[in-house]
Amino acid sequence: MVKVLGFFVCTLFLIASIGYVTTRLPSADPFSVSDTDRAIDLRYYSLFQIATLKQQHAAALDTPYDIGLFGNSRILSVGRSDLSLEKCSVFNFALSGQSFRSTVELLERLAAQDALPRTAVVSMDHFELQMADNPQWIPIADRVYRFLNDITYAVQSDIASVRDAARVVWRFVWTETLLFQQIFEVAFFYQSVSTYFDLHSLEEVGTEASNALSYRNDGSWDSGRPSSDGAVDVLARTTAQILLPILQLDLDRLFNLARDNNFTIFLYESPLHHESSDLLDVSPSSFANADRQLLKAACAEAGIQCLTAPIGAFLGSSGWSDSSHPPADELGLWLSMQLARVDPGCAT
Amino acid sequence: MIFNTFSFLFVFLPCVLVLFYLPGLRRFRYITLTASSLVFYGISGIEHAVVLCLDVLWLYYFMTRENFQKNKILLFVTIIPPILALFYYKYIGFFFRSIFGIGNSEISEVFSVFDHIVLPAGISFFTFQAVSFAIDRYRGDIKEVPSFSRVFTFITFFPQLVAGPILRFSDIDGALARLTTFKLTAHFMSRGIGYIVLGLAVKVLIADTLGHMIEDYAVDPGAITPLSAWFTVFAYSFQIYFDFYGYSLVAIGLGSLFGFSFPKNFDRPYNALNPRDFWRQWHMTLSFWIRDYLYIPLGGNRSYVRNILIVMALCGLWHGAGWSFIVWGLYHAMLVIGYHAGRTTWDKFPALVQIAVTFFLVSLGWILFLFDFAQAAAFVQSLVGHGANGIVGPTLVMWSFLGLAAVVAFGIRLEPLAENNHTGIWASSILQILLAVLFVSTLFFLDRSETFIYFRF
Repeated sequence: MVKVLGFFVCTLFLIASIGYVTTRLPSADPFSVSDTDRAIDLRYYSLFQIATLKQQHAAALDTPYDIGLFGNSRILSVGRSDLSLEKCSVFNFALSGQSFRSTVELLERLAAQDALPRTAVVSMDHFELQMADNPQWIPIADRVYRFLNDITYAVQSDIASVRDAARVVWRFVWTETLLFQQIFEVAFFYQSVSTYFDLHSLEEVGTEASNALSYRNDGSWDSGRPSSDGAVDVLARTTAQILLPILQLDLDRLFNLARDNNFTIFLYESPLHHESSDLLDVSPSSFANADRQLLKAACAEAGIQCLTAPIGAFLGSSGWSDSSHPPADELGLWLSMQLARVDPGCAT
Repeated sequence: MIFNTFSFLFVFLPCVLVLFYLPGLRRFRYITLTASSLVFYGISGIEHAVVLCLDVLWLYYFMTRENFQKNKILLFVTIIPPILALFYYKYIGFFFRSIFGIGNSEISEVFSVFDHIVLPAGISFFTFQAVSFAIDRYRGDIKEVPSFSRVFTFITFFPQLVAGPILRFSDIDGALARLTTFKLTAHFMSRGIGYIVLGLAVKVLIADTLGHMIEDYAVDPGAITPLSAWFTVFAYSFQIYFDFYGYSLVAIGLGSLFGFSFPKNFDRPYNALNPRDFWRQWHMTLSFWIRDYLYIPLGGNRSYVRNILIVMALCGLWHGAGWSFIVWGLYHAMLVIGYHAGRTTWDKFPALVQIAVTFFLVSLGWILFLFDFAQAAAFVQSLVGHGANGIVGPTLVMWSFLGLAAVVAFGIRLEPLAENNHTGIWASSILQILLAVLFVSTLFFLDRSETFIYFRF
C-alpha cells in the first residue's frame, strides 16, 4: 500500500506544483503602459491571471476609475476611445467567457480592495443566451465556498426546487473538471513557467502581441474576430440554464454591494443583431421572460437603472462578429448616451 | 468513451471504482460492472449498445438449452446472428460493392447507402469473444453454464470491450466467480496503476506524437521525398504498435483494479526472429483465437499452405472491410509460408539480422493499413524516389524521436515495470516517481490524443 500511496502523493505534488505555477502573475502591470495603441499580448494568461492583473491595476491607482465596464466578450472590445466621454477615466474590467455571476464576484473583490469605479456599467448576457456558468477565475477555496453558498440558498429559497439544487452541484462539478483540464495545456503551462521564472519582461509581452486576442491599456481587447458586413447567423433557441434562485442571489449580492459602497450601477441586457432580435425578442421564451421579470422587479426594488431587451434598435447591421457581439464603436456610442443620463460625474 | 480522456480518467473510472467497492453494493458488483460498461459503450450511440445486449441475450438463451453441447445445429443458430450483425455493420457495403459494383458506377452508387452505416466500436472483438464462448460451451470446455450476470459481465466488461484482449471465458472465470468477495489489495492496485500509466504513456507520448509527425506525409503520399516516405514507414510501424500495445496495457491495468488478470496481448513483437514468431507475439489473443477456432478446425498443419492463406486472408478481413486489408493478410501469409519453406537458411542468420529483416517486412506491410490501394501505389513511388517531392523532409528532432521509439520498442521490457512489484525501497520509490511523472506528462498531451487505431476494427 506504501507504493500506491507513494504514487498518489507524487502525482498530487506534481499537479499541485503545476497549479501553483499557473497562478503566478507577471511582475509588471501590463495595463500601466501609457501608449494607448500598444497591444498587450495576454493570450497565454489564464483568466485568473488576467482578472487579478485587472484588479491589481485598479487597486494601485490613487483615485478610482470614473467608469468601469463589466461583463464578458460582448463588452470587452469597448475601449476608452469608443466612449465619447473625454472627461471620464475608463477601464474595461470585463472577462472573456464569463457570466453575470463573474461580474458580481469581481465587483465584490474590487470593493474589498477599495478599487470600485464610481460607475459600473454591467453588461448582462441577453437572456435568450442563458449564460450561467460559475466564475472560473477565483481560487478553489472560494469556488467551494460559493458552491456551498449556492446550495444553501437554493435549498432555502422559496423559488428553488430539488432539481435546481442538483443543477448547482452538476455545474460545480463541470466547472471544476474544466478548470482541471486547463492547467494541462502545454502552451499555457509554458507561458506560466516563463512568468514564474520572470523570463518575460513587459517589453517582450508588448512586442510579441499579435492582432488576435491583444489587450489595450484600458483593459479592453481586440478579439481578432472578423466582423461581418451585414448578415450573421440567426441565433438558435436554447434551453433554460439560468437558475432563478441563483439569479436572485446574485442580484441581491450586487445591489447590497451598491448600497454598502455607494457607487452607481447601470445594468443592461446585451443586444442581439436585429435578425435574431426580430425572432427572439418578438416572441421570447418563457424562461427568458421569467428571468427578465425577476431582474426588473429586483432593479425596481433596489432603485437601480436596468435596461432589458430589446435594446438593439439603435445598432446597425454591419460590424457584428456574430449575432450577440455588437460592434464596439456603436455599442460605445450608445453606452455614452446612456451614461450621460446617469451622470457619472467625471472629473469632479 | 475512450481511455485517453479526462472524462474517463477523472470522472468515469473513479465513479465506477467507488460504486464497485462500496461495501453496501458488494453483491451488486456484476450489475455495477455491466451497467458501467453499457454507459461506457452506449455514450457513443445507444443503438450499438442495443446490438451488444441483443448479442449477449441471444447467446445466453441458446447456450443454456439442455442439449446445446454436441448439438451442431444449435451452435450455428447461436453464433450466426452475432456474425450476421458483424457482417451487416462492417462488411455489407464492401460485400455488395465487391460482388456487384466493380466497374459499374451506377450499381456502386445504389449500394453506397451501406457505406454510411456507423460501425459499432469493437464489434469484431466482442463478436469473436461471444463466438468463442459458444464454441467452448459446445465443446464441453465450459462444464457448468455460468449465470447470466457473469456472461453479461464477461462479454461487456468495459476495459476489454472495444479493442481486446480477446478473452476466453476460462481466462477470467475464476475472477468472475470471486467478484462479489474480491478485496482490492495493494498488489492489484499497484499493478493496475503501473499498467494504466505505462499504457497511457506509450499511447499518448509515443504513438500520438509519431502520428502527428507523419500526418502531413499521409495526406499526399505521392508528393513526399524518399526520406520522408521511409520515415513514414517506420514511424507508422511504431505508431500502430505503441497505439495498440498501449491500449492493451491500459486494459490489463483496468482489469487489475477490478480483480481480473487479463492475458497479455503483446510479447515484444518487433523482436520476433521471423514472420511466424511475429504472429505469436503480436495481438496474441487474436492469433490464438484464429489458431484454435479456425486454423485447427480447418485441418491445421495438414494443409499448411492452404490453411495459412485462408486464415491470414480472414485475419486481414477481420481488421477492415477492404481489399487492402485482405491483401495485407495475404502478404503476411506469404511471409509465413516463405519462412516455413526457407527456414533452415533463415535460421542460420544472426539473430539481429533476422529481427531486422522481420521488422522491415512487417513495417512494409503496414502501408496497406495506412493507405488504400491508389494511395499505397503513390506512396511506393515516393519510397523509390519517383514522388513529387512536395513536402519538406523529416527534421533531426523527428528522426531522434523515431530513434527513441525504436529504443523503447526493441530495448525496454515494460511489463516488469508495469507489474510494479519491486520490493527494494529505492527501486520502488524511483518507480513510483517515474510513474507519477509519466502520468502527469501524459495529461499535458491528452487534449491532442487520438482515438486508438484498433477501435475501428
